[in-house]
Amino acid sequence: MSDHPEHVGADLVGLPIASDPERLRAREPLEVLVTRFADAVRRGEQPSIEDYAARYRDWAAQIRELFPLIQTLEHWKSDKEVDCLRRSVPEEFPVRQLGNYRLVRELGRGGMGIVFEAVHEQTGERRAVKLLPWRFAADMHLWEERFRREATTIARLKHANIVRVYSFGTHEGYCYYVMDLVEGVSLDWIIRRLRESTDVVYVDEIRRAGRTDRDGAGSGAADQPACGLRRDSWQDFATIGVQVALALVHAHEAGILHNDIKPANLLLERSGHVVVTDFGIGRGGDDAAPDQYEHPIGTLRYMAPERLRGWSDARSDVYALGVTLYELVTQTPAFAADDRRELIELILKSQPVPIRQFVPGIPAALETIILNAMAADPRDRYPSAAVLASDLLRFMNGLPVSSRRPGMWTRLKRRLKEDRSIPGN
Amino acid sequence: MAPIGFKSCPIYNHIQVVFMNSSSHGSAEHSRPGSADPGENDPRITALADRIIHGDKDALAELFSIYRPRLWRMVNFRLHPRLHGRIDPDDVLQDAWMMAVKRIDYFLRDASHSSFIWFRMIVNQALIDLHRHHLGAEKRNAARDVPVFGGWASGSTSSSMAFHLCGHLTSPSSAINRAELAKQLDTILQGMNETDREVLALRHFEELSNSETARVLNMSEQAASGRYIRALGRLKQILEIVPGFLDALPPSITSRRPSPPGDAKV
Repeated sequence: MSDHPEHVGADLVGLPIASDPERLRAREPLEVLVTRFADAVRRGEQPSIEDYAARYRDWAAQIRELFPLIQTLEHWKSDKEVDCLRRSVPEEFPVRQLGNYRLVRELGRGGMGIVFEAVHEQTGERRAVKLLPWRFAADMHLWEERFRREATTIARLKHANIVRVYSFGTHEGYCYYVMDLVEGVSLDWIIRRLRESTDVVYVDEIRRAGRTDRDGAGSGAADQPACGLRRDSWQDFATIGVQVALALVHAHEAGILHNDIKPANLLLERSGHVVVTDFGIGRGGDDAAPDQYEHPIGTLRYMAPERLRGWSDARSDVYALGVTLYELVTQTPAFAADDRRELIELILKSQPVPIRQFVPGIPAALETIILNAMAADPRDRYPSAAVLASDLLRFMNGLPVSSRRPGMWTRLKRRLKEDRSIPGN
Repeated sequence: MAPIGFKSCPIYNHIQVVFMNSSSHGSAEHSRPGSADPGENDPRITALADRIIHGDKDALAELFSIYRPRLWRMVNFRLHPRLHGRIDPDDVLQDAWMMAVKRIDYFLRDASHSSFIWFRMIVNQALIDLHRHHLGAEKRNAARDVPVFGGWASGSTSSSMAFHLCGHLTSPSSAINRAELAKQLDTILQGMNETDREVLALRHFEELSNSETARVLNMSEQAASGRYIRALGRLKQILEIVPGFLDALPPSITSRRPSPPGDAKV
């Protein structure tokens, strides 16, 4: 057992067993149930309070009284822990090396990670590396599992308009995955830029904003054609929309929802090529992930009404793309409020300012497509991203598109059925 | 041998190994469901304890890494609201690790009931030292600074609880702002029985089991069990009194996951 030569006879094995007959071990039956229920919630399950109440009838009243509180408290706790984790991530991330990759600079921070530009030490290849910036959180194994799932899921999707993921790794406890470095800017940069001035956004600007410290040679403005985006680049807006819709078609066919389509997650390269990034895997749907309840307001804004009510499907991604296109053509968010509850109310009410009010010159067909995509009721929306893509293509080729929104009469009937007031206009 | 610095020891490999095999181990009472932490009676824990009592620092590091997520949760909860964002819980755990290495010879004597509680006690001490260092002067002046449980002032747990309970209230337009609400909640929580409050902190915020809670508070498991139920009832009453709490849930929480319509589910 032991290497010590002075040990001859008995050796100590393990700790003494604590037997303490004085200690009363009997627990309150209700406390045992509470513990079981809380453990299930902590595992990410969704135990039914009514099942407990039915099974343990003697305690039904107390179960109905206390269990909802426990559920709520558990959710608050995980929200707060995520909040604390985010706040503990330093401004300047201390790690400069992940596996074979040397981190060059930070490109951005999202809900679940920091993205760096990185260089492979041997090959010199430039890549983007997404890092989960904590390693010892209380639910670390859940975080790691989710992060790994995000990487493997995106890696499965091979599509020109979806960012490519190459590998997943861990380095001193940190998880990261390696993806393509997209030479471009996000659509929210474009939207901001279009809002600030009526000028053309030149491809050259896109390059400069996206990549400032690239090799300077051969990238002067002179060799760029003078094409760019303007507030009335309807065809270009539609081209962007088509590419995102096609990426969604591919993901949806593979059974994957993006869950977080918004301007910040769509990158535009100088060639006009769009790359979809940052799949919100495990952030909604069937997954009770640690931050399921915490949606920053910037993400909330693009959430479909049904997602706010707790479910989503392919049409929810279509909706998010619709709201994104609304913002792209008007340079104004469809729904804006500083307060979460107000914002949620606005989304559920779904009466955005008519697009025409911002941009009178917008072709009617494009306006119709956007409104079709962002209809509040999923039944009134494009049934799939493919139908949206085909309508956008029809618009680009001057073919007629059809309104999917129900007539006044259908809407009126539905509203009355749902026992809601009829909106004024 | 010099104490092993946490960041330089081969602990990360241990974490990987441990996590991969952890799901099926542990007794029902002691295992931590939903976490990668096996129970106190788990054979691997016993094997590690065996090595630790013979002075094996690697085994100590491995055991510490197993408990680390739970200890992180404790630090995150106990850290004074003002120190959040200034002090990284990882650094507190690093300090605690150094202290644990120094006390390895006392492991047999002090950790015989529960090695987790032993580590928790050390982390607790590291936290108290840290709070004295950062908030020392101002805390001493506070009238309510009476150490009660584990060296904590009676107000500490209530303000931590208020801080963590107010986390979800982000609405600036609600009737009272969040800081005021936290203060109000803190005041009410302070009016709670100290043992009840501590039981809540341990069972809910630190996620200790009933037997661990009983051990920390030095009471019978039966008493801890009854206290927890009572404290939950009290907390519910409190949250119902304070405006904006139980009524402030966004719809995604109040009506969580109704079954989705059958069609078009991807």
